[in-house]
Amino acid sequence: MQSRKSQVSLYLIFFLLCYLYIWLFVKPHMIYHGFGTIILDIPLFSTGWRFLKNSLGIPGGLVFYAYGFLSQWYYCSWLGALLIVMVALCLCELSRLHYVYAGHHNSTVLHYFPAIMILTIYNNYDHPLPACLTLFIGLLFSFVLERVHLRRGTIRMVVFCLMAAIGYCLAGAGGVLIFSLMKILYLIFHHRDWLSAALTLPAAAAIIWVLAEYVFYISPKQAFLVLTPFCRDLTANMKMLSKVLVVMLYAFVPVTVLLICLWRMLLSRNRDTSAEHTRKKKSRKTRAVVRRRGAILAYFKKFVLPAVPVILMIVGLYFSYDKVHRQIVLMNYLSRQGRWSEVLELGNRLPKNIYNIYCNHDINRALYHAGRLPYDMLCFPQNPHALLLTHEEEESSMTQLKMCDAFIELGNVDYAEKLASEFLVIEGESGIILEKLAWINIIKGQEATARIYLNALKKDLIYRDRAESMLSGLESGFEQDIASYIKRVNSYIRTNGGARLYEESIEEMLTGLLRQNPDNRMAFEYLMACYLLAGQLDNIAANIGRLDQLGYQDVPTLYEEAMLIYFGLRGRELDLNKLNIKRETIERYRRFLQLYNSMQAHNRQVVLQHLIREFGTSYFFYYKFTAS
Amino acid sequence: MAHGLRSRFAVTMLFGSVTIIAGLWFILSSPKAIEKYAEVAVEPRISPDYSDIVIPPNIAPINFRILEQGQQYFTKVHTNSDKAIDIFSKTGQVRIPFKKWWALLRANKGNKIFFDIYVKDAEHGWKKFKSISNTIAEDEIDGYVVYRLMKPVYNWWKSIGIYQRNLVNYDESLLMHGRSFGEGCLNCHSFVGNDPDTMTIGLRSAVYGSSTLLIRNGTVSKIGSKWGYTAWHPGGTLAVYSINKVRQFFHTGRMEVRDVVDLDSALVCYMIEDRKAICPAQLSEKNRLETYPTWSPDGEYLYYCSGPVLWKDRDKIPPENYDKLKYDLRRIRYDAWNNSWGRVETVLSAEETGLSILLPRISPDGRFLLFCMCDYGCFPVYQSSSDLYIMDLSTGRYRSLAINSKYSESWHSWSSNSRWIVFSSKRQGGLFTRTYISYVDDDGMAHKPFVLPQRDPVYYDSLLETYSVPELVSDRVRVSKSLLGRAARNKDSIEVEVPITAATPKAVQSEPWQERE
Repeated sequence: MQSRKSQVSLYLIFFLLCYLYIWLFVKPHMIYHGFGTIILDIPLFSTGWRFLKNSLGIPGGLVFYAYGFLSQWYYCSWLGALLIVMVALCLCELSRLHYVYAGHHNSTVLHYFPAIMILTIYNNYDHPLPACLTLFIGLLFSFVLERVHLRRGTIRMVVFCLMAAIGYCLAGAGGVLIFSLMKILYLIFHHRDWLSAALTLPAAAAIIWVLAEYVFYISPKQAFLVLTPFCRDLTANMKMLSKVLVVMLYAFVPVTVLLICLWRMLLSRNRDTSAEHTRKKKSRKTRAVVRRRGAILAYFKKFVLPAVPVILMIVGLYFSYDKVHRQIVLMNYLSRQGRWSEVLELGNRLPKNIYNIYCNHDINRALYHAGRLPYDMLCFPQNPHALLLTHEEEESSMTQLKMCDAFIELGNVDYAEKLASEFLVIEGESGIILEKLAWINIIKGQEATARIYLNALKKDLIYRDRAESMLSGLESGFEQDIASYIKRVNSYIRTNGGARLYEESIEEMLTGLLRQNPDNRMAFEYLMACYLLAGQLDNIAANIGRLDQLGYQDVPTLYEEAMLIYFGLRGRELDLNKLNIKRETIERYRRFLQLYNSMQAHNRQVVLQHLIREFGTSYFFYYKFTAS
Repeated sequence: MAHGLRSRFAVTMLFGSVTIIAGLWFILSSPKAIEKYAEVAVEPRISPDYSDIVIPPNIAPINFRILEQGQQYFTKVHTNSDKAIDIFSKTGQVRIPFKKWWALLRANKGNKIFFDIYVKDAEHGWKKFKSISNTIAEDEIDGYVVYRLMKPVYNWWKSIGIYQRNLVNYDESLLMHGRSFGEGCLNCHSFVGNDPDTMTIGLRSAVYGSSTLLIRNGTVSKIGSKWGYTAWHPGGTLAVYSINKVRQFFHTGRMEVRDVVDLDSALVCYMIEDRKAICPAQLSEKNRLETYPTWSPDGEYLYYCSGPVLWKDRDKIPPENYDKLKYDLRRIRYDAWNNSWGRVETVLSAEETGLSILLPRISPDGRFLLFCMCDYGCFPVYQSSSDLYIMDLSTGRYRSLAINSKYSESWHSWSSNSRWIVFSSKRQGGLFTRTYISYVDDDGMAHKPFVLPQRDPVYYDSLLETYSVPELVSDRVRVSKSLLGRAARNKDSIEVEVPITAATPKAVQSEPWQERE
């Protein structure tokens, strides 16, 4: 009783600590907003029978359905943390029950390992929920089968086959694999039924094959991979540590049970002979030593051992913690929320030696929204591909989502529609993409199509309210600011783009957008940013005249600097009446040239450091040392 | 023990009483009949639009939703002679009971059927709208329609399936799914007339390659080449299919930004028994693009579409003058006895119509030719200008059907009695194709179409799949799904050598975007 009480208290302490850590530090809502981007997979869930029916039509359907539903909980951090802790707790308790059944009656540390592994994976912002659910079903089935007292081997085998078939429908091949492995271990070590043990795996394989062939109509190769750790989708985009931990998670309980059984077998063999033998031979002195050892062991068991899980958890979390990755996840979250000032704040805090193209893209968008892109762009590391994520041959889902947002803002709505539609086809009907498609169609004036997307969006638990409000906006008109946004972006859409492959360059696209609507400020700033990064001074000079029409009060610093270089290189007189360049910028250029020209072989490093300190974020520096 | 039994009994009684009271409340709160109401002179708005339509006597209940605002709804479905079906609803959704519906239809072939709709609101009480009147046709429609379901595709596809739907009820069953062969793609399916026993399905898979499944009387064989648009000779001994070098490109500022062009195409004839393909010179002219074959019901003529190649560079996308390409409707005589092809005749030229003529389908009685016409090109689904036209084959006169919408109409198929057509239309907003059914009377007049009925009246409101290539068949396609899956994954296939001539398209490559709706 006492032991049970202390076990419960240990559970409470351990999982309460886990809960607080996940809730307050990991923040599961960042996982939710990372679906489809940082976390490649998007758990799909939709209310209604149709989705349930479709889910159950594939092997492991229940796990996928539950995965989709439970993943919505992450939207609220406290609820998401509760879910993660509950899953870890269930696996922890289920492992303990297996260890007890296997003969390890006072497991204090071992059964915490699955929970520690799960928390470590979450600490990396990876998402092992399908693996956890699969493992849970596999372990539960095997435990239930062992608790039902079936004496005859044939009946046991029949029940196993039935449960394996159900297990495959619910948890795929991964669930059946765990179930079968545990069954084999118990058949060998508990029931001494070697024949059944030998038949278990072939029977499980045959069941999977039959179900794949005649129920789910999938290829055997696919069938044997569903929800196993060898299935690529299960660990797609996970960090290596998380991938290893997922495999370990699957293997841990079967391997531990095997070791426990082997240990007990060895122990029982030796007990009869050696115990008798040693008792006779023990002297008084040795008995005292044994007693002392026993006391130390008892102290160790009472005070040290219970602390081990907590220590292991802390060690696991410490070594798996990746500060930079966390900042990247956070930036992704903030940019998806449109919290641009916070994106910039975070961008300033990012280590200067770390570069991530998606962060760079988000920072540029944040700068644009803050009206600072033509001023502060070079305060951050830059890559010409980051502006519109042109770094991939085939767009990844993260690129697709980010580009979709950027293209809608720019007015390149047709291409945004293409990206969003492809995302829909490949990743499924997730709320995030349905909302984008609805906006795209609203902007294009295709309200009937937008309604279909919104009605589908209404089945998403998180996006339901947003869908309702957009539908009512379609019915009775949107609020002033939304209506003007729709009107503005609609005016950007190219009506004379002609027919083409989607292979136009970024420059073609942006100039096309500006041709359609010269008031498209974002297209202008992005076009100028492209020219700045490519060092195309001629093009900057050719487009600088658009500033007046776009309502700029003064010439942005980076453009001023670019124009000074442009005129400087050509040795042409700068007409300050025509182009209102600030006097201090001219002075700074003179100073830069002076320093730059003073650079010799012997003082190169000193001058360079000086230039970096004084002009590191200027276009003068960028042009001289990077662009040209 | 006795205490346990007592409490269990009490709980059961309580639960039973609550259920009975709830049931009684529901029954009693629903009015038996509406006696006091105000008449409204207009028809109520319902979705889908099932008003002024002609329905087959063997169609599933046409459930719908009343769009008028109200707290309670009462619908009376009746004819002039039979007992009415009364349906009360608090949501406005009208689900007609099966048995009563079928009895009503069976007993009233050729008669009118009425939907009297009453709506109650808090202020004005019950209102009775003007009755919606529909007609029950004498002629039945074929029992099944086979179609492909997929999401609107740009470059990539996933989860494409061919399904068959029982029109008498709502049963939809999967025929074949892409996941059976590594998320491959299923292309056009075609039958010999409306017979479900012989069928082909085009497949494309990154893992298992491109092929065609030939299904005959429950057996499946795999042909090692992919067939495009296929037309079976009525005798079932040969099939003519197109090979197309299709390329996709895009527009801006249009509702439908996708577009495709056949850079090259030709027709190939496959002899089923000999397992041999021939490429008749008349059907693979070097400077023309032949596609969309269809047979006359007597098997004497092959009708097809043919357009001139207007570009020199057969690799440039989009090619020059792509928007000037218009297809003619042609036909060629076929002598089945001697297996010989005659002279090509132009049935209707694009020059005459000013439009591109596509997708010809002849009614099984041989009287009418149904086809699409759109502004240009070869793919009507992506052209909002695409409309359905009908030609009386005895006179050669053609006209536009009154059932066209401002969106694309395409993929039409005749019923075996030539009285019904099913077709794809994008009229629900311009993007998603849905299957529509229309009655064609003896004079070739198509009546107002209605969307394929579903059990759930709001089914289409949130459906993100498109219905593609609906084909009416007289009965269920009886082929094992596992057999189809195994055949698709089978490495062995019947090798078909397409005779290479100067006219044969240079390359008929498999590219993902060739999956079109």
